[in-house]
Order: sequence, then C-alpha cells, then structure tokens
Amino acid sequence: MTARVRFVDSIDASPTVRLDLMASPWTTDRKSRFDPPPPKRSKSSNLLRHGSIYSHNLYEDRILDLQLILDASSSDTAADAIQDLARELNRPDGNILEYRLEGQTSSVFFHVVPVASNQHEILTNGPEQLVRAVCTAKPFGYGLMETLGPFTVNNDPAAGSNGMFFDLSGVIGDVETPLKIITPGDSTIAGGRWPLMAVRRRGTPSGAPFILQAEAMTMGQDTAVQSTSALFSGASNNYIRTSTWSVATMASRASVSGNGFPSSASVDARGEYRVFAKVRKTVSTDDIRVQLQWGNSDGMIDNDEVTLADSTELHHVDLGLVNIPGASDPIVDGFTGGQLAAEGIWLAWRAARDAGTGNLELDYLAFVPSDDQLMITEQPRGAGSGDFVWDGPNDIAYLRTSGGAVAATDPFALTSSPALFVTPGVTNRIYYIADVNPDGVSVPPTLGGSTTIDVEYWPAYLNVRPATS
Amino acid sequence: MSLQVPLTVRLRTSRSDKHITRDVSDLVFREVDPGGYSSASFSIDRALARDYDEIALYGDADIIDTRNGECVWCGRTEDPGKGAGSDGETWELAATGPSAHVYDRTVPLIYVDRSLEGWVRLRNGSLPDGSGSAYGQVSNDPTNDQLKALVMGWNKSVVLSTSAQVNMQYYRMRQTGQKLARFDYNWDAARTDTQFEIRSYSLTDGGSAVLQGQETFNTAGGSPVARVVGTHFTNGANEWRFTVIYTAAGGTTASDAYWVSVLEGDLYTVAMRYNADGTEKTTGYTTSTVLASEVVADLLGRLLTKFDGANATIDTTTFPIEHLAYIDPVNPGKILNDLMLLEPAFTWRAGNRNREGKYAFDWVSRPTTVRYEASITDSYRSTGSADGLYNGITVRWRGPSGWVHHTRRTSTVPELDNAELTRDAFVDLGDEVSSEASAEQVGDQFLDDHRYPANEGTLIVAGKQILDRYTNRMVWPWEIKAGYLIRVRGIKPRPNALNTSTRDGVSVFRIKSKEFRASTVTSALELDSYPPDVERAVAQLQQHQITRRR
Repeated sequence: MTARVRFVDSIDASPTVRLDLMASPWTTDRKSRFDPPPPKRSKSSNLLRHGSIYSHNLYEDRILDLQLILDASSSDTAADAIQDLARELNRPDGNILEYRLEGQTSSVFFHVVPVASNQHEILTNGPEQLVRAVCTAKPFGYGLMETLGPFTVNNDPAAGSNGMFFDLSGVIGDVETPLKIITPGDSTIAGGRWPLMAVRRRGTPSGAPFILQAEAMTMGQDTAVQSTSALFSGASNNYIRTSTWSVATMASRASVSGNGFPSSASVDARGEYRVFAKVRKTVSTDDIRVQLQWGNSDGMIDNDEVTLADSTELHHVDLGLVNIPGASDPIVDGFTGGQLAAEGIWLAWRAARDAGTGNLELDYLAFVPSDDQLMITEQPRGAGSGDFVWDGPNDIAYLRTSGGAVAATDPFALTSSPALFVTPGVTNRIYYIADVNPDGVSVPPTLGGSTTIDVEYWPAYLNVRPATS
Repeated sequence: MSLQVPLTVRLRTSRSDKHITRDVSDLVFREVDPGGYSSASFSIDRALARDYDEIALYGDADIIDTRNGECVWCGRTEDPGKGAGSDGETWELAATGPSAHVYDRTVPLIYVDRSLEGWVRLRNGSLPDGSGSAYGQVSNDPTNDQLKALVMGWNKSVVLSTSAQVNMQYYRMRQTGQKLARFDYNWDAARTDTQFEIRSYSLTDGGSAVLQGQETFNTAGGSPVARVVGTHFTNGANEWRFTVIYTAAGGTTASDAYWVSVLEGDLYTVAMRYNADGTEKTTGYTTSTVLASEVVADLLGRLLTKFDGANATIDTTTFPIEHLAYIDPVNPGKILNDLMLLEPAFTWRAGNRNREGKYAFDWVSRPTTVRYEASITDSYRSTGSADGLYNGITVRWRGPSGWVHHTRRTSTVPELDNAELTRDAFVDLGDEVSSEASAEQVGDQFLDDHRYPANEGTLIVAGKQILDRYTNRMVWPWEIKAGYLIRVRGIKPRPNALNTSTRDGVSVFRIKSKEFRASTVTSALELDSYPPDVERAVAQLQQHQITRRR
C-alpha cells in the first residue's frame, strides 16, 4: 500500500479526496511529525506528602507538523498549490487528514481543527518550495467504522444468552472510544419508554453480580415464594408475593444475610451498583412504598423510599445505589497492585402498604454497574418508527427515519451523557434494560421479548494503525 | 483509576434538551448549608451572533455524574454573559440553585399573633354604646400599670340602654388574606354582674357575626375554651370580635368598675396553615402556638411551590413559638432564617429536581454523627479568631402590647472568665419574633454557639476520594455534601460541641459550604463557620434583606 497523507471529506474506505499531499506537486517530507497527543492530567502536589496524586488522566489535542515539498512547474502553479493548501487548512468546520505509512494496510484519520494563523512557513522561494503547516488535531486518529452485532438482547435476565446484557469483545484500537448504538423503533410503541444502558469493562464482567432472583432470598414478613408464572423470570417458583400485610408498615419482606450478595467474595464483585427491582402491584390504586436496605452485620443503610406508581404492569423501579464491599476499601493490597477480593453485602427488600387491598410482587433485583458509565434515556412519546440512535461521538441521541434522516421529534431526555465508551483488548459488557420508566408504560416490554441492537464505533489510535487491530 | 472527570452538563429549555459538556471551559459549582445547591458557573466557546435553543434565562441546568446518573447539582440558568476577546467568543453561563426560590415571593404572613396592635374599636353605628363614655382601647391594665391590655367598658355615671356595647375587632388576618384557625383568650373583669357580658364572635369578610363565647362579668375572670375552625366556626372566618354588652333593661353606671380587660400575652390568634402538599390544614389546631416545622410545612404548601412539598422531609421541632407575625411583607427565606434562630439544631436544604420539575426540600436536624473522613494532606487553612466568644447577650424584642423589652442571658466561657472579661452580644428580634420565651431561646442558643473558640477554616480535597460513612463508599470531591460533619486528621482541636474531648490530631467540623472546580478536581470546604474574608462579607450584605419593622 502506498503512503497516504491527504485531506478527505469523511472517514471512509473511499472518501472524496480534497487535497493529496503525496501527489504532484506535493510530497510529504519524512521530517513531518505525527506525534501522539500529549497527556493532560489532574495533578495534586504539595509538601505534605511524597510525590503527587494524578486523579484524572486524559490526552490533549495533538500537533501535526506537516513538512511538505512543493515541486511545481512554475511559480504561479506553486502559488495555486499553496492556496489550495491554505483553503484546506481553513475550512470553517475543520478537515479530515488521512494518514498511512508506506506499506501499511490501514489508514488513520485525524480531525484537524481550522488553523487561523501561522499556517505555513515558506522556506525558499520559486517553483520548488518547502512548506510547513503546523496543524492542531483532535487527540486520536480514527480508523474506519467498525460494526458489531447485531446483538439480540433478551428482556429476560434468565435467558440462555444475553439476558439484559451483551458483550463486546474484539474491540480494536489503542484507547477507549465512544459507541454509536442503534435500536429499531417500533410504530406500535407510543414512546415513553426509558431504556437504560451501562458498561462494565474492567476485570471479568461476567463475574460481576447482576441479577438476584427474588425467590433466592430469605422470605420475610407476609411474603412467600409463588409457583411458576410465565410472566416472571426464572425457572420455577419464580417470584415472591407480599399479600396478607399483617404488618402494613415498612418492614423487611425478603432479605439476604450470611455471606451476603454475591455469596462469594471476588475482585469482580467490587463496585457501585444501581439497583432496580422488577415489581408489580395487583391493584393499581394501592399506596405501596418500597425501599432497599443494604449493609452488613454492623449496620444497614436505608436507601430512599419509592412510592410505586398507579399501575399493575410489571416494571422496573430504581432503588438507588449500593456499594460492594462498602466502607473502607483499599482496593489493592499495599504496594503490590493486586486487587483484594470484595465481600458481598446484606440486603433487605422492604415494603409498606399505606392503603389498599392488593398484593406486591417482586421478580428480581438487578444490580447495574454504576461506577463507569450509566445512561437512562427518556424517549419522547410518539417516537415510534425509524431507529433510535445514541450517537456517542456527537454526544446526542436522536430518532432516525428509515431513510437515514434525522427525524423531527421532541428531544430525547438523557439523564447522563449518551457516550458509552468501550476499551480495546478487553471484554466490554453492555447492560441493557429496555425500560426503567417507574410509571410503567402503555406498551411495556414483555419478558419474552428482545431488542436487536447494532453497534458501531470508530477505533481510536495514538499513532498508526496495525493491519487488524 | 478514573480517566476524565465523569461529569456532564445538561441544559434544557422548552425548545431543546442538550448535553454541552464538550463545549464547557471549566466548571464550578457550589453548595451551602443552609440552602443546598446555591450557584454554578461555566463558560462555553460559541459564536455570539446566534441564539442557542438550549441557552435561555431560567432554563434548567443539571450537572450529572455519568458513572451512575446521579445529579450532583441542579438549578436554573441566569441571563448569560457574553464576551469576545483574545480567547475568542465566549458565553459565560451562571446558574442559580433552587435555594434562590425561597426569596421569590414576598407577602405579609401571620402564624400566631399575640399582639394587641391588631385590635381596633368599632364605631357601633346604630348600636348603643352608652352616651359616648364607653371605651375600647389598648392601655395599661386597670389592675397592673406594668402590663398592657385590651380594656373595654364604661366610666362612672354613664346611662346605659339595653344592649349598650363596646366592640373591638381583629382585622389583621383579613388584611393579610389569611383565615382564622383558632383563637383563645383569658379575661378579667372589674365586677361580678350578670347584667354585663363579654362575648366573642367570628366573622367572614365583615359579614354576620357568629357568637363564639359568652360569659357574664366575674371578678374571678374567665378562660373560655379556645375556638377552633371546624368545631366552632366555619372555614373562611377571618376576623374576630370582642363585644362587651349590657343586657338589662336600662341603668346608670355607679362607678368606674365596669370594665373587662384582656392582658397582653393572654390573647392568641392562630392563622390557618397549609400542609406541605398544598392542601389547607383544616383540623388539628390543638394549641395556640406553632412549631417551626409546622411553619416550614406551611411555607412549602403556600409559597414555595417550586419545591416538592408533598415529598419534603420535615423533621418535627419542639419549641412552641408563641408569636410569629410578619405584618410587613416578608419572603420565606427570611422566615427560615428566623426559624433557625429559634431552632438552631435544624437546617434546610434544597436539592434535586424531580420529573415534575419540582425541587426536593428538607428541613432536618443537623447531623450529629461524622459523615466524612479526611486529612490535611491537600491543604488546610484557618485564620483563627477569638472574636466569636461571648458570655452575655441582650435580646431586644417587642411584646404583644407594643412595648420594647430587653432580655439578658449569660453563660460560662472559661477563656473569658479566666481573663476576667465580659463580652456582651446584641440581637434585635424586631417585631416578628416577639415573646420572652422566644427571646430566651434565641439568647441561649446564641451563647451556646459562641461558648468556644471556633474550629473553623478551609479544607481542600484535591483529586482523591475520601470515605463517606453514610453511604459506606469512597467519594470524589464533587460528591461531598455541605451541612455534614467531617473528621479531619492532622489538626489538634479546640473543645466545642463537636469536639468534646481533645483527641490529639483529630478534629470534627461541620461543612458550611463546598465549592468544586472541575479543572483542578478540587473541592474547597469551608468548615464550621465562614472564614472572615471580604467575599463573604460582601455576600452577606447583598443577601435579600427586609428591614425589620420597629
């Protein structure tokens, strides 16, 4: 493959070339520099301790030092060429520079910001000139878009595969990169769903605690395991019901103690989790409050109480955050760098019925990792057709028509940035819950249903791109 | 290990809902106690020549932790500043936290009124009053010159016809637009005489008077049962009246002893309040006093409509406030400040916005257990000051009769006593918070707060996590909450309410404010009390103030 240094209109295998700096009259001199981006750190340093603390480490924009040999047929032709270069360096929306070394298979593409002044240095005069353009570009060079999936994510966490999650392995690149996630719209859905996505990309994500089936807990006040129902997750006797309400005030209805949850200590158990309960009331107008307690034998922490909405639909309710193992956690053992295992926590599922006659049913508790990235989207009502797109690179979510245009809808309300980042060379587990709207929705996701998710990303590189990674 | 600071900035208006994090140049947000979220600022590099749908005056601004979706600050954008210079075109966005909404409304407001100033004598019109020698006034009590009272009656030698009467009426509730909930009084009379009665009436907007109490003159006096809405008078009554009346066929007063008096301090008018959810509280007025927690609930239901009153946390207070009446307009922020004078063990916080756009509100007891564990390894500064020690205080207050009173309280302060010094403070309660019990409460609480040298200063937590005992997790600087106690290793404490023993090298402080700056990943925590600096003094002067009426 020949070397490439050229301005193009897009990151594409066959982009429109705007200006080729390796084609006559231009040659990119070997003195050109494509240094990786410099670091940008949050550093805390004083005389009260040795060394410094670097809490946050990022990359700054990079500098591309293009040293070009201009060999034109005449001075006027040289002036034309220099003007072409100046125009490319000053495109109002910036430019894209494709870069590939001689013999390399794959290119990287740099997002070059407009250069306002000191554009280039003409070292000699006449038709043969040395031109130097020092450009600023975004930190990373990007490869061609990669597509992963489609992934079929099942709404049933006990499904044989991809139960409310899917794994992204084989992510290529040097550093983390944001995803573009696409789910199909459905004209039968009146919008109003709140899909949740989160990511765990450290350790062995499959070892992280996720689902605690209610029937696996120790039953508490007025609560018993129920026989199998197809509406609930799990193999048999798959949900619990609080029914008699002999104690109607807030009390523990099911719990986990002893070794806690998860029952085995591990490195992957460690983390902060947002807990969702899948519940339903049997009488929609009942006034029922629920609460999660968590902790250990030394004491339990009360998360905020949640009043259930007037609905008899099975739906997810946010019970707040928990930490495993909680309390003082050094994470690593001294200076060794090796992580210590984290012990599980005690849990109590609590509820109160302030008024009414019906029952409260719990399917499971879902522990969604909340120490990396978590995103909840309030899809606008009426947004039912086309595709839902979470465009991480552009930090925005939108509805796309079947023709690929941005649809005119109310904005998607995101509780967090829509950019989920994945790391190359590791397994990235993406957690996906189709709907966490606490009010329930008119067309709820069914247990047996699924969502087809397409994933696209642009691998990010610090230097050049290997052939396959 | 974390990479970028996991915070995102979200702006929302009726036209747009957008995350603008990548456009933001630095980010600073502040939280205080009392108050909660107070201010935020950030600048974005954008062209000045166009409008952006997500930037608008009073648009919603949220700062969110992207790890878990938790909102760490929220409020409303103020009018954005703009500038163009060597750094290009910049929008300077400032946002105000929900605590500012406590200053939105300004109204007169009565909770409990023991004042005699709200009473006026009615001219009877066609009703006889005894040939012009009847009187109804606020004057010295006939039996005790040291006390003021409502005094109604007749002088000597007045010819009385049947139903000769003197009427005095309370109008203030109607003037402030409120309704009666309860009224109560004790009375005294110059004579025992079945031909004369003292009656009380309730009225609605000057309509028909509804008889409430009726007793004949008796030198033993009287303490009729308090009249309560729903039980004795209908919801809507907003005035009440005393009538002193002669019920016999006719006669002439033989002496001056034909009066009834209602002493200052023996007369209570309680206004109807709101529940925190905005509904009227129409029952449950069992006392002629009000608790600070009940006032908070009323403010939430009546005026603080931007807060989620229905789900507010309101811890119950215990001190019975005997008089709380703002005849001149006042804002809820001022009332909350007054309540904290009376109940300094409590504080209030405004918090996150819910899906309906209402902010959380807490009126809670100040924490007494340590929440955070930190050390001085990042930075600690204390200016030090003995200026805050007092062993005496004079509290000025105005009684129900309108007289000015001064209550003096003292305390034992070892440092001052050892130096044989007496230092007096002065607090003026104005007219709104006026009873002796309240004055004593305020004075004693002030002296408690100024008994020991303050353990105060500024602690910097930079780029690292500290332990949060309440949630059993390590938290980053932006997650630290104001109003809670922090234990700091590396400082020998002075004994005070938080540091009852001098454990070497460990001090407990209250976090009065937190200011987080994203560019340095630092939180500056002001501890115990604000360090005496110019910025703080200016901010206090610029706080919303209404001059207390004298």
